Amino acid sequence: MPFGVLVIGPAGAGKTRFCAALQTYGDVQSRSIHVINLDPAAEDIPYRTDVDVREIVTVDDAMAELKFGPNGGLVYCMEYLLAHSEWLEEKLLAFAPEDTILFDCPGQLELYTHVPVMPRLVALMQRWDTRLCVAYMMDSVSLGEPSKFIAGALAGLSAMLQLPLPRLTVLSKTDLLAPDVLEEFLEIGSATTFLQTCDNRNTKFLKLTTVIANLLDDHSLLSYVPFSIHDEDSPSHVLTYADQLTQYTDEAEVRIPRDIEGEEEEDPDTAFKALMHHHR
Amino acid sequence: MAEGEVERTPGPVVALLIGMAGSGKSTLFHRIHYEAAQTGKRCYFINLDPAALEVPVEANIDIRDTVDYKGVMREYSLGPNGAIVTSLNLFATQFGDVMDILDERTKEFDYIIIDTPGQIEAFTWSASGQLIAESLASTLATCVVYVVDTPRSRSPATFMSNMVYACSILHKLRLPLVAAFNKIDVQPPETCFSWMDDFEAFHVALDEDDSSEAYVTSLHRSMSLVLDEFYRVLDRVAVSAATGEGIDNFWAKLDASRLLYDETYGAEIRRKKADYRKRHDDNVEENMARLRVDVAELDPDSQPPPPPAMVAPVSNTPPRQPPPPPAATKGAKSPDEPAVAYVRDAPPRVRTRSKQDTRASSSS
Ligand SMILES: Nc1nc2c(ncn2[C@@H]2O[C@H](COP(=O)(O)OP(=O)(O)OP(=O)(O)O)[C@@H](O)[C@H]2O)c(=O)[nH]1
Ligand SMILES: Nc1nc2c(ncn2[C@@H]2O[C@H](COP(=O)(O)OP(=O)(O)O)[C@@H](O)[C@H]2O)c(=O)[nH]1
Ligand SMILES: [Mg+2]
Ligand SMILES: [Mg+2]
Repeated sequence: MPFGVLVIGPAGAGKTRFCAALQTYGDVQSRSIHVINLDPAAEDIPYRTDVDVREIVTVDDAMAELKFGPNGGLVYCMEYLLAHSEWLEEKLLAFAPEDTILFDCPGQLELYTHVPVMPRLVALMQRWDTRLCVAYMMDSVSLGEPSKFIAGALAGLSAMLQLPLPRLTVLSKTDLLAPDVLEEFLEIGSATTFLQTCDNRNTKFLKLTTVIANLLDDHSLLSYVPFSIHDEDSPSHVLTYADQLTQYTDEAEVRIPRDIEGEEEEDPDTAFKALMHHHR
Repeated sequence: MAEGEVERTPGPVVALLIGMAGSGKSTLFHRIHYEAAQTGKRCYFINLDPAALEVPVEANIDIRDTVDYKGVMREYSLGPNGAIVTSLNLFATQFGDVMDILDERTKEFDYIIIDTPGQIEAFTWSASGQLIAESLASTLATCVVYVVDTPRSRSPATFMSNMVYACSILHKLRLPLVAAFNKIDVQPPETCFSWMDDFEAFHVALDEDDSSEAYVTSLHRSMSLVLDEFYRVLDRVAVSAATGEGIDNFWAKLDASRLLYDETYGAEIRRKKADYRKRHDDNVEENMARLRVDVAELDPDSQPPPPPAMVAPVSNTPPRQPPPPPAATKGAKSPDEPAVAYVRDAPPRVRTRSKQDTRASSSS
C-alpha cells in the first residue's frame, strides 16, 4: 500500500513543477517518489511520468473527435478515467508499499463538486489501500493582500471539503515574495492576527472576514508550508509534513533519509514543529 | 437611509457573469440579450470566452474577433487551458481600448453584460481576469453575477463548496456579488434558499445526505456558520435562462448592486481617490508586467512584436449590432430566444470506447 499525495490547485499554481521538484529530491535522497499525471489536458511535463492518464485519453482527442469544448472535453476524459478505473488500479498495484506517489491533478473545481470525479477517484483509491493526503497549492502572490489571501484559502477549501483526506496547503513560489513578508506571515501564524494587520475599511464585510479568519484558525487551516522550486530545502520540508499526514514515518521508518546535508543534528520533527509552530 | 448622501457613479452597471462550467452563463447572456430587446433595456454585450464554440448573440465586443483561440493553441503549442489563459492575456493587454470605447458610450447604455470563459479559474485566478475586473470597477459600477447550477446543487455538500467558492470570488474581486440560481425550470431554488436562510435546516440536510461522496466533518459545520455570515452580504435571484423566468428580478438586482457598489467600493474609491488611483495603477501595472512576462515567455526570443494570434485590434461593432430597438416585436417566440435542451440528471457522457481504440488515437 503506497503513500500518495494528491496535488491540487488552480492552473498555474505550480502543481506540475512541485511534483518535478519532489521527484528530483527523491532521486537525490534515494527515496522512491513517483509521479502520476491525472490531468488529461497537461502539456509539457517536466518529470518522469510513471503513469499518465493521457495514455488512455486526452482532452485534445475529446475535443477533436467528439467535438467537445475544453470543459466538456475535460469532464469527458475524467469520467472516462473513472469508468476505466481498473487501468489505474492495475498501475497502482505495481508500486511497492513504501513508494510515495504524487498525483498531479487537474485544477478545475467542477471535478470536485458538480461532476465529482475526484472524490469518487479518491474513494476508489482508498479502497485499493493507498494512504493519501491532499496538498493544495496556493500561489504566494495571495499573501500580498488580505482579501486575496482569504480568496485563496477559501478556493482551496471548496475543493478540500469534498475530499475526506488530511490536508495541507503549500504556499508556492515563495521565491517571488519579499523574504520579510513570508517570514512575518509564518511568524504570525494566525489568520485573525494577520488580517488585523491589514486595513479593513470596508465595514460591510468586516464581520464576514472575521468569522472566516476564526474558522481558519480553529481548524488549523493556516498551516501553510512554504515552497519554492528554487529552494533546495523546500521538498524535504513539504515531505516532512506530508509524511506525518500519511503516517509514512510509522510505516517505513528505515527509509527516512537521515543526514540531510547541513541539517544533521536537526530532528525532522523538531524542525517541522518549529516551522509549523501554529499547527495543533 | 443614508441614500441621499451616497454619491452615485454615473453610467451603466457592469455585470460580470461568472460561474462553474455549464452553469448556464452563456445561455443567460443570450436570455438577457433577448429580454433586453423585448423590454427596451439599453444593454451592451461583451463576450470574453475565447473558446466559445458559438455565441448566438452578436456581442458588441467579442474577444474572438481579436484573438484566435485555435491559432493561439497552434502557434504557442498550448493545450486547451493554457490557450484560454493566453488568449485572455493577449486580450487584456488591449483592454485599455475597450475601456475607451465604454467611456465614450456610457450615456448610451444602462447595463453592460459580460460573459466569461467556461473555466472559472481562467478568469478569477488569472492576472488578466483581475486586470479586466479592476479596470471596469475603477470607473463603472461593477458587480459579479455568480451563476449557480441549481439542479447540480441539490446535494448539500456540493452546494456548500459552491458557496464557499462564491465567497472566495467575493474576496478575490471585491465587488458586490449576486448569486443567480439558474435552471429553475428544472429544479426550484427553494431548497437552496431554505439552506441559506436557516443553517440548522442545512445541518439536517448534511446529516441526511446519503450520496456516495458525502462525508461530513466538524469543518463542514463550522463552515456553514461562516456561510451564514456570507449570505447576509450576498444578494440572490432565481432565474431560468431557458424560459426567462425571473429575469425581471434580475434587472432589479443589478440596480441594487449598483447601490451597494456606491456604498462600499465606489465610496472607498472616492474616499481615497488619489491613494487608490495610485495603488490601482500599480496593480494594473503589476498585472500588466506579469502578463508581459507570460506573453514573452511564450516566445523564446522574447521579442514583443504584436502576437500573430491577434487577428484584429479591439473594436466596437455597432454596425453589426445596433442597440436593441426600444419597442421590439412582441411575438411569443422570436428566433432570438435561447433554445435549451436540458436533460434532467443527464447520465455521464462516458462513451465506452475500448482502451485500444483510445490508445491508438492518442499516440501521436
Ligand atoms: N433547463 C435549463 N437548461 C439550461 C438553463 N441555462 C442553461 N442551460 C443548459 O445548460 C448547459 C450549459 O449552458 P451554457 O450557457 O453553455 O453554460 P456556460 O456556463 O456558458 O458553459 P461554459 O461556457 O462551457 O462554461 C446547456 O446545455 C444549456 O442549454 C436553464 O435555465 N434551464
Ligand atoms: N518563481 C517560481 N515560479 C514557479 C514556481 N513553481 C512554479 N512556477 C512557475 O509557475 C508556472 C506554472 O507552473 P506549473 O507547475 O506548470 O503549474 P500547474 O498548472 O499548477 O501545474 C510555470 O511558469 C512555473 O515555472 C516556483 O516555486 N517559483
Ligand atoms: Mg500542470
Ligand atoms: Mg459559456
